[in-house]
Amino acid sequence: MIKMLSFLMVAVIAVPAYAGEAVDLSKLAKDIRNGKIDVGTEYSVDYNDDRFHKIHADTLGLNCSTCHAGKQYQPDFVLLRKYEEEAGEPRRKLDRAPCLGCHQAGGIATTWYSGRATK
Amino acid sequence: MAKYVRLIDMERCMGCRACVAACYTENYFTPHAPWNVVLEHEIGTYPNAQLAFMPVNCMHCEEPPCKKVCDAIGVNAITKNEFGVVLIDYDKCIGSKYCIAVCPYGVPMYNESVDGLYPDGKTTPYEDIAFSDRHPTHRKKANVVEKCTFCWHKLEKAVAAGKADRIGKDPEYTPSCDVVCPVNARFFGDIEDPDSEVAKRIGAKKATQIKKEYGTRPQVYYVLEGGDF
Repeated sequence: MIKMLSFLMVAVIAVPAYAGEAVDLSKLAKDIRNGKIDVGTEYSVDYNDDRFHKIHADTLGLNCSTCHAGKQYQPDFVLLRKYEEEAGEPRRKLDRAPCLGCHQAGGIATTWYSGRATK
Repeated sequence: MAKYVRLIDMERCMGCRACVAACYTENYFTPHAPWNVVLEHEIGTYPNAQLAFMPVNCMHCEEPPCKKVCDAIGVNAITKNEFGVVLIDYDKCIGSKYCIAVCPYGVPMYNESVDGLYPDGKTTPYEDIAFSDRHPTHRKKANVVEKCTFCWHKLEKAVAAGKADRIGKDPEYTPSCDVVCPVNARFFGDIEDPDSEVAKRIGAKKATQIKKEYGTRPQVYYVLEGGDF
């Protein structure tokens, strides 16, 4: 149930970035892996030119609060505060549940977690 | 082959943080990157409130996502040895923090700088030990990721001395955090040995791994109130 919810959460959150057009997340993930979508070469999670946020925020359109759930954002954070670094927030509080949706075994993204995908 | 695991009994842990202090002194603590922390959680409402304490260190997963992601980006800084211990090679780590991003337990810590522990610039006896004289896991560097090693320097010593059977029994060959617990809330040993204290207690107290849904198969077990679920 948790896996299914997290997958749905990712899917639902990603859709607004492509409002008006159908989004095929698996095709998007495949294109990223194949290099058809340029996400840079900087292996980092540091908000600047990093692949991590280019993939998850820019390309897939996930909102910050998808992962940074413990952070209180301003109401306009999607427009103005998307790349603002969280100040002093312990990384321990970042929620990894949304990652499961795509990164579990059988998911659409590279497999980091061996838990089986929800049928 | 032995499989070393840790058992943490949350029904017994009283949050004294002796395990945290032991880890700090044993493993050349760097303030930006603690290897062992105790999380606190308040349960219930007054007057039936209580605090639950949860010591967290590396789970040394059998399928570690940190290693998978590190290998996938071609860095190969994380290894899992034949005893099940997951280690980071500081010389190979590029500080990408991808391992931090994927660890469901929030374990790996990025060490921004290796600062002295005394505010007046003096050094502690531990800091005075020459870099080259330290175990590789204690050669701390800035801008790399660190985490608990199951006190690999102690386990390695036991294996080299042919005393692997003493791991979990002899303080010299047992992770320091597990040695110092004053309330017997921590145990360490070979889960493949049915006579080991840790194997017996895991069975008797229905200890469980946490966040099983990730399929990481942690080698740290917790006794949770109410048993496994």
